Amino acid sequence: MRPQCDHILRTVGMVLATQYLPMLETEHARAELGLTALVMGVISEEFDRAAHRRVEENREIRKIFKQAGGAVQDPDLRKRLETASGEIEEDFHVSALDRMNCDLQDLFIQLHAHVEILEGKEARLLEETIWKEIENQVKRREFLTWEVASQLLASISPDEPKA
Amino acid sequence: MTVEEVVRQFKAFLTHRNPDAISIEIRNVRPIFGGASRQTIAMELEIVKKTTKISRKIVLRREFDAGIIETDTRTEWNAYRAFADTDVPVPELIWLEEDKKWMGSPFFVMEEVVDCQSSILAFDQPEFMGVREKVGEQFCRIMGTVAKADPKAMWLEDKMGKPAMDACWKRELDYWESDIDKKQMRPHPLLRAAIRRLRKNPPPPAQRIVIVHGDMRAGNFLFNQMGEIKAVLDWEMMHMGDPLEDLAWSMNRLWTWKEPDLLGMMIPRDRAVRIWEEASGFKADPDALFWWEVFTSIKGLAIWISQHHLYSTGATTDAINCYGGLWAYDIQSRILLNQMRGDA
Repeated sequence: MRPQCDHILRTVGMVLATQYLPMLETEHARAELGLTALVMGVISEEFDRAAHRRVEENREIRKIFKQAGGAVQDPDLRKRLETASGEIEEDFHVSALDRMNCDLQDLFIQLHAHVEILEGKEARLLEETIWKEIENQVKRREFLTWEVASQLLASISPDEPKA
Repeated sequence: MTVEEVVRQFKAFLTHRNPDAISIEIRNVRPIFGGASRQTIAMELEIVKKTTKISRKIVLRREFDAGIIETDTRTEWNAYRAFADTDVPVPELIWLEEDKKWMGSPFFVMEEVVDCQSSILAFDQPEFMGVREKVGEQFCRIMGTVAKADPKAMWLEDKMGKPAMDACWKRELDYWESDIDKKQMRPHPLLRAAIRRLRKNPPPPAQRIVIVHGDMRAGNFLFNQMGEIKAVLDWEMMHMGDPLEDLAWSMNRLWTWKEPDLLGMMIPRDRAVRIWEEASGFKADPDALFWWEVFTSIKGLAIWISQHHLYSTGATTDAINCYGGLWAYDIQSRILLNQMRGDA
């Protein structure tokens, strides 16, 4: 599709912020529209990466599930990890990827809690692997456009006294 | 309820309360942006009676139909009343109305504090740049004064549940974890790991059970160009608890994302702690304070998850809830990750 949806979102957000926001009279209306424009710019970033980050994250979590199998002492958890690690995405709609991601994340939390109470070097190594993945999860959700978009908005709509 | 509906219902309320009024005028209505837990509207009021005329600039705060935090208006009212005429500046109260027949939810009215600013972004503007350290020092002293206040003498002790000194942390953590359980729309591995770690490593008992503002931070007080703090606002999360809770919340780096070594973009963190210790008489043990700082990241994330939930379920269309659910969640997650991985 041309133009791409992320481009459309960015452009509409920019038009709202630069052309329509200055025309509004009240601080409340300017702030409301300004934030809306800011959010449109930011979700344009999410639009492009939405499927990618879910597919990538699901793959990384499954890798950890496979790696964890031997260390896990709870047979029921081990079985569920085995099952989940063998699943693959067949529906690539973001909503479907999201549902799968949530299921995997639920299990990931259970695995983390389980590994925390295990003793031994293998458990600590696995725990560190889990933490590396948590770091990546935070990074995958970072919005890089906040800073630029916020500065743009601040230059258009300086704060006024609150009350 | 729209602003127009609130104003119309408020006028009906005023007419009921002032049967002898010849005229009641409400002018210059200004909804105040930013509050996610209360609908807040500033306005000018003029009530003419046979022998008197009352003109006031007021602020009306009404519980939202769907708010991000479950708090009641009376808590906030009690706080303002308790701290009136003390060293903790608060706006003058006018009316409290808990009967839902007027606006569908309780509301209260207070005097508007004029010619002031609440946004910390003001410190980037020339007229406020020179006073930010003064404001920061004053804020820390006020925060210490709140912690030092005697809840019993202020008639607050019997109005709020008083936890045991070794149970403050658990009560707060239980409350916010339960809030996350109710409102999360996806699993949060980092948040759950942090909650487990705090439970395994509880802080020492509170030095004393004190009044906790609950949202004591940059952005929740009004200051003028002289650098004077004229009012501490937004007391709806007030409760009894550990004095370190407010200090830690004020130090949350979310309020000072651009300058993380400062408290609320005002003064260096270590100086802030020293001023608070002097004003409150309490010690801020670094390990205990760090426990509470991690807790504030969890509480913050619970609030941003709640905002996300409200927006996603259509309970509100306010942009602030969408923004908070995205931006604040992102930044707060980065802060919590640093705390958990030892970079903070």
